[in-house]
Amino acid sequence: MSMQSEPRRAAQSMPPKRAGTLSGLWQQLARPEISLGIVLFVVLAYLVILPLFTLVRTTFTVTLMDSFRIPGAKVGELTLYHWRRIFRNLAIFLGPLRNSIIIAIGTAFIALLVGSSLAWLIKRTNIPGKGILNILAVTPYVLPSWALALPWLEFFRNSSVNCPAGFLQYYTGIQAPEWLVFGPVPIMFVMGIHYFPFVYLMVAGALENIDSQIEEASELLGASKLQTICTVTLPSVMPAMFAALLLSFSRTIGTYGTPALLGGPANFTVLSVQIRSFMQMNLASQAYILTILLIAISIILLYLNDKVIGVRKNYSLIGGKGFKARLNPLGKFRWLIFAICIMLLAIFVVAPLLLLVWSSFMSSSGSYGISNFTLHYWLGAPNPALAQGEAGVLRNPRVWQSTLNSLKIAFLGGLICAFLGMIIGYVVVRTRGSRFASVLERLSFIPMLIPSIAFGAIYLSLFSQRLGPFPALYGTFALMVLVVIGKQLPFSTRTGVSAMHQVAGELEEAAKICGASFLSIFREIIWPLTRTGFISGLMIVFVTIMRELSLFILLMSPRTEVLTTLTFRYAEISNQQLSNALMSYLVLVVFLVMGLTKRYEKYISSSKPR
Amino acid sequence: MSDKIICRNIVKKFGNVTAIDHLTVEIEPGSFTTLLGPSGCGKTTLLRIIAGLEDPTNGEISVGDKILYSSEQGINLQPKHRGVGLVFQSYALWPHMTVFENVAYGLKIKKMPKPEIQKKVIEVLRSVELEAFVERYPSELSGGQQQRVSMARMLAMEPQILLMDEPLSNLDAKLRLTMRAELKRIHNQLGITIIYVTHDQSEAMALSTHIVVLRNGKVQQFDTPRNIYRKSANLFVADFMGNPTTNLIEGQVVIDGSGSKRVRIFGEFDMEVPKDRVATLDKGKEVVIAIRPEDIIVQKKKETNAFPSRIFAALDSGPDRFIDLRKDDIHIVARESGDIDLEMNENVYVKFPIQAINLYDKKTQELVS
Repeated sequence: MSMQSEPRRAAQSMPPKRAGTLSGLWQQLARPEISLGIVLFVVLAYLVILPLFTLVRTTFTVTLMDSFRIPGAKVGELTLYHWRRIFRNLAIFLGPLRNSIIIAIGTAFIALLVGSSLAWLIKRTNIPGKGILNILAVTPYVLPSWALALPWLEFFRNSSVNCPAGFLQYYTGIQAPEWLVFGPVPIMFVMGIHYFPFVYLMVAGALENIDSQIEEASELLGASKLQTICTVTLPSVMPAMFAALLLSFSRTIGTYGTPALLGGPANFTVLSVQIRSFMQMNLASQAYILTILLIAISIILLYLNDKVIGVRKNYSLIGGKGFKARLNPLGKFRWLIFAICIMLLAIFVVAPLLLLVWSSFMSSSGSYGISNFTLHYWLGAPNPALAQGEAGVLRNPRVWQSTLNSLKIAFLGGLICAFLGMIIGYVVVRTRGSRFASVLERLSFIPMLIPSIAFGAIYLSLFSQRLGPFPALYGTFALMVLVVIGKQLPFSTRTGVSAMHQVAGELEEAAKICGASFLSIFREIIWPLTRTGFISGLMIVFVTIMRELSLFILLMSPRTEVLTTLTFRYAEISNQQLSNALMSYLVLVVFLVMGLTKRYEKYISSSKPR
Repeated sequence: MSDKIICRNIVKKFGNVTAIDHLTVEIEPGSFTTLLGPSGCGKTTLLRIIAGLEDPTNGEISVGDKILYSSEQGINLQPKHRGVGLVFQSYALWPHMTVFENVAYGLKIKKMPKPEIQKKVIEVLRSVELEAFVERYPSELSGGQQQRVSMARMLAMEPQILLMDEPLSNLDAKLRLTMRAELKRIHNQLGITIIYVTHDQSEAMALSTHIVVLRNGKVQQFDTPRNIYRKSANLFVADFMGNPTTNLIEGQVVIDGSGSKRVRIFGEFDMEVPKDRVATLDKGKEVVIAIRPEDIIVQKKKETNAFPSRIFAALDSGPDRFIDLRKDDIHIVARESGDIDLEMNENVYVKFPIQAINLYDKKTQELVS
């Protein structure tokens, strides 16, 4: 047995080290996934943890405004003042909380009812026209969540609530009661319509996965159709329905747009609106306390969702590929039911948009006749008598500027976010199974727990001051992009992880053996294979942000106006026709963006030689 | 020019699990050495450690004078400096590159001039009979073709050592046999050292010049295929090699009437065994007799050295006949010529030729030599 002689050719110039943890650690760092992972930790701490921490800390800190109100207090020192104030005036806080819960429950149930029924009709019966029903069922979700608030007002407002006549009053003379125009009822309806596609997709998905043989077994054993639905079908879909309920509940509790427009005039305030009010009154700390409340509720809901659904995850009997779901025949009522569905969808989805467009051509509110037709709000030059002196939508420099801002923020945010998601995906997949990977993944999912408006508040609190070498970012473009990156991180991480899963580790190892450096491996092996994942991640963020309001409402400033906030502000000050025109314009832009991205994605995936 | 590859005292731990346990092995230059063993024995881990894709917890690897890894001296060469090529079990071909680009990849990194790359790639593809497929994508190739591209890609780098991780296990049985012949031919032509991993002992026997049998991260035996088969170092190796598996019969050392030592099996029959082997054993020692099925003689004639038994089943197999014998609870399989005239339930006599018997210490499981 020959012994190894003195090492004459140690080809690597590493200083001799004693074998042990130190050199082991050094070798670990040399692995790209480890050093990248550490950088990511720092980035995520900055994007996720630090803002949260600052939010909480600010509620315990004396701000500049407070120093006037609290005798003898110095700016920056810790105090329980804000918390005590909230607890002394619980009404400020319990009222909005109660209202938020009311509308969330109402919305969730409306969405559940409509969404589930549609899902069952489309997936489990032989109703005709499934294609068009499917499209109509998904459309409301594509629009901004408060898009239908405007046509609702346009339709129902009337002189009995001190508003110019709406469509209903104009054509029929009927004056809708106040509770139908403003307050919880309209809010629940409008949001219910926005969120039912969400429920529809989830329940439809679950229904598709049910092997109809379990229903057939039930009927063979003598159960009636109704009994089968109640005892077999419904329980199988329960988990999905429950999940949809919980998720829409947690989304609506933090929504801003609709409750702001439809609740304000009736003094119906929800948490999100109250948060903004406090911000506008310079009561930042109070606003942040409410934000913490909102976040806590959201976390509880999502935790509940996980617990309840997690246990019952095995309920859905996933049928094998190729089994046919048996359709329940609707008999002679087929076409009637179809007609009813189309009519309802047309009334609640299509008609509002048409009304929106129509009213944007009306020169003054209260009249909808042809005689009132004008193109002013679209193409007109500024006229002090109309629309508070603003130029028409297509001629308005502010509109163009904010469109540009929206596009830039959405695209840049999406780009950086998708890139970050890829890197996180790489690290998580290459260190799969380790605690390192699961901590990183969990960190990147935290923004999901935080409602958009709360997220905006968090970033405001952190970045409105100097942070070490970084200047205050309040009112800057950079802040808008940052908040997009932070909030959309969970989605791009998911896309990144699944894209990286496709690239087997061995493909990298083979390149390593052939002598490639990490950078050239990334450029020549990893990137070409994950390119489509990256692009779809980018597109998702882009499309979502183009219609996002709650995220930006607290952060916006004249310089960083985006299309959604601009539209909202005009609606807020009752510049009706202009806001209607703007909303129509916004909807058009969103549809255009979606269509183009879909086209682009198709093009990308068809040109790969895989 | 190949040098001896020495792995000294390799230890690899994954948390609390020891995958490789103080392993030392010397691989001859130009040999075809197979790392053989059941799943989880550490063979793939050892291969990846030699390649530099994983680091051992401790130990040293050297090729001649060149040290690839030494935990003591803090040396750890990158894979590209080790002069190794690795053919993966899944081939790991890059799906977005053509066959040409796959094979040329390493040469491009070496900054070889384009015309030379062209020449080399065609030459290597010709040696695996795939030059007609240069412009194809991996998804357009069959399993066997992909496997050959995977080999060509590494061979183009002209490595000193070619590592192969179960390269044939994803192919169908017939293709596997043809590829075995190809591999042997390539080895012969190129003269490089091949370190091969497989769990298929017949494949190891067919291809290798040397076999390292591994179990739970420890070397059980390192020898030529013939020796491993004929003189298995312990009961594990004896049982692992061969198909059908070797027969293992327990017994005790006894002293017969004439004073010579024999092994009593079935509590009653004193089997004659090789004298030099049993000489070192005391009376009463518990041993295991190992004999290969093809060595057992089953006959109708009674002989002193043959013990009686009954045929449990006779299974035809073309050129062979497998005679399944039961004695008490012990199961003995003999392989006889296909033409032999033996049927179920027949009473026969079974003879173990002395030179074919291997004795194993029952407690230590080791060969008595």
